[in-house]
Amino acid sequence: MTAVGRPSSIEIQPTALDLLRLPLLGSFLRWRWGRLAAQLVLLLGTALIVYDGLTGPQLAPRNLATVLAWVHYRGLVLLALLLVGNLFCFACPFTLPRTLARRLSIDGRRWPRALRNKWVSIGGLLLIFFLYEWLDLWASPWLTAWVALAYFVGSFALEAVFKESAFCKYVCPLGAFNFVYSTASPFQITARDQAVCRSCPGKECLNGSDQVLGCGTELFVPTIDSNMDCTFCLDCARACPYDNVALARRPAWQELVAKLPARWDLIFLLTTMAFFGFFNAFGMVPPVYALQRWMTTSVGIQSVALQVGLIYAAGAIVLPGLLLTLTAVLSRRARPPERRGTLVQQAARFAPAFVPLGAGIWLAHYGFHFIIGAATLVPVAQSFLIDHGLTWLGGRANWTVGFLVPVDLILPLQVGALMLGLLAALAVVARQGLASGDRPLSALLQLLPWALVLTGLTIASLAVFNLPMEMRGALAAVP
Amino acid sequence: MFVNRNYCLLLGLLVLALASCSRQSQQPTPTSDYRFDLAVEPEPAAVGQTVLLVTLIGPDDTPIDEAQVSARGDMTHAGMTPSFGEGEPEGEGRYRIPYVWTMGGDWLVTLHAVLPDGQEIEQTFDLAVSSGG
Repeated sequence: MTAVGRPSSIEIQPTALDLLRLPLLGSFLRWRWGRLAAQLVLLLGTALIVYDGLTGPQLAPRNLATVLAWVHYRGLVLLALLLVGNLFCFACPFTLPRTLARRLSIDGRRWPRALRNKWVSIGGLLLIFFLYEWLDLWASPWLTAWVALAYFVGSFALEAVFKESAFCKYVCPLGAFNFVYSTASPFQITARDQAVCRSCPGKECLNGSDQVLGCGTELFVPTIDSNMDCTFCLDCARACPYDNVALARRPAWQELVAKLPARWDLIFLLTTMAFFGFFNAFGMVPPVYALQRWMTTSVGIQSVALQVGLIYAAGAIVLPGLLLTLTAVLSRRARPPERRGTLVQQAARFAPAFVPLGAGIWLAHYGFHFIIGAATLVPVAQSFLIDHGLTWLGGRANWTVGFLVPVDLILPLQVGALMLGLLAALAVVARQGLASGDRPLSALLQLLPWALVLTGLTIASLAVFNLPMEMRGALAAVP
Repeated sequence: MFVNRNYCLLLGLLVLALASCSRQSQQPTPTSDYRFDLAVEPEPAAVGQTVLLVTLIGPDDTPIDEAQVSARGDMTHAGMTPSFGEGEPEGEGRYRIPYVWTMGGDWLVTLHAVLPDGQEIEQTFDLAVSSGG
């Protein structure tokens, strides 16, 4: 996304808080083995997911695989992104075999030029959400374990063949999710002093040194103006011989109102992620079962796989594609002819508004599961240990655990997350419209279609979260 | 090379752990001539207070009284806490278990009985609970 040599268009104040300069934390992050230490923690979690998923009780609420993956990981990843940044890519255990593969790589081919975009990861997202709904992954410890193993294999295989971090940058659906919402994160990698980078002969942050690999996703620190594609691996900070890299605080909205590259893959990724969020939640409320029954009885589609595939393809690909195109066309027409750019340029100005709204939708959904399910890790861990003859956490699993907040607060919190997301999204489109330099009426007409789509998606989400969720799956197809 | 050796060691440990572990919960339970019949009241099952009507039947279809019968219901989604209930004997092998469906969706209800001779039996039932009244 960032071309080498182009200076960053986003200025971060030199006095901004820099996590790499904080006592202890900064030393840990810059330490050569700092990332590995964090990865080992998540590797232990992933090993438990694989082990318990394959060998433990095949009931999701009683198995570490499903609880860790579908309650804790999903609940914490968005919080981490919104409060700090891409911490889960930083500590991603799937890159451990990847790094090994990179060292074993013989020829190190480049990722095919035609695939150097986000379309593959959008396809990966569609695939993973389709499998999630079709196979009820949330209800199957065994399948959850195999998903984790598939991640290890996929990461290893791609890195063994291609020399750049192709898996992270172009394929990984989890990475795509993290990249999208890290664009609203309050921290970003930047150069402490641009002048130092200009005179730097080795560009070690990009090219690496004898001791440290350079940026896996090929970002050059002084030109970074986005968290997109940054895994927070901090190899750049470790490689820089001048200690000139900062993980600096920035306004969370800064990137959302900056200039997004005019690329349909990026624009569509930011947009469709919000629709994936909506349809992922929609899959848990009664109307989806009515829709499936209608597809069975009225349309004659008996296959649950086909039903789920059609719902996701229509809802998360076709619908956002059509809305995006229509909105961009209407918005562009509102500009004076002499100032009209291309359609993709117009879409790129406003599409980042889907990031805060999408974050609100995901937070409302995954926050719900985290609030009601986080504490079940205690009895599940107790059961796991007891199962192995260990009574470190007690001799009997205590299932009388409560929710993280009173149950009456859950819906207000969900509504709050959605409304906050909508307000931030409307603020982004308002800023982008008014900053166009066009007359106020033109600016208003440009932002209006986007505001309508964002508001419509919010209303639909409010309706879904206001319905009772039903934890279905793994028993039988919808009758 | 130090890093490579560590990775290999970690991967090896993972494989060993997967291959070698034997878990208590995975031990096969002995087959039994006993079985449960389960009905719910009201029917169809819906979120809220309910009663599980359990009949415990032994060999030759003999109803079994004086057993300690309990129920545990789990949802299929991770992170959901189970619901528990204790059976109240009603004679002729029937037990009544006051119970609460806390959420709509798919439930797995595991009935457990300690028989008068100390033998324990267990059987699991699938139930779909609607979220509407």
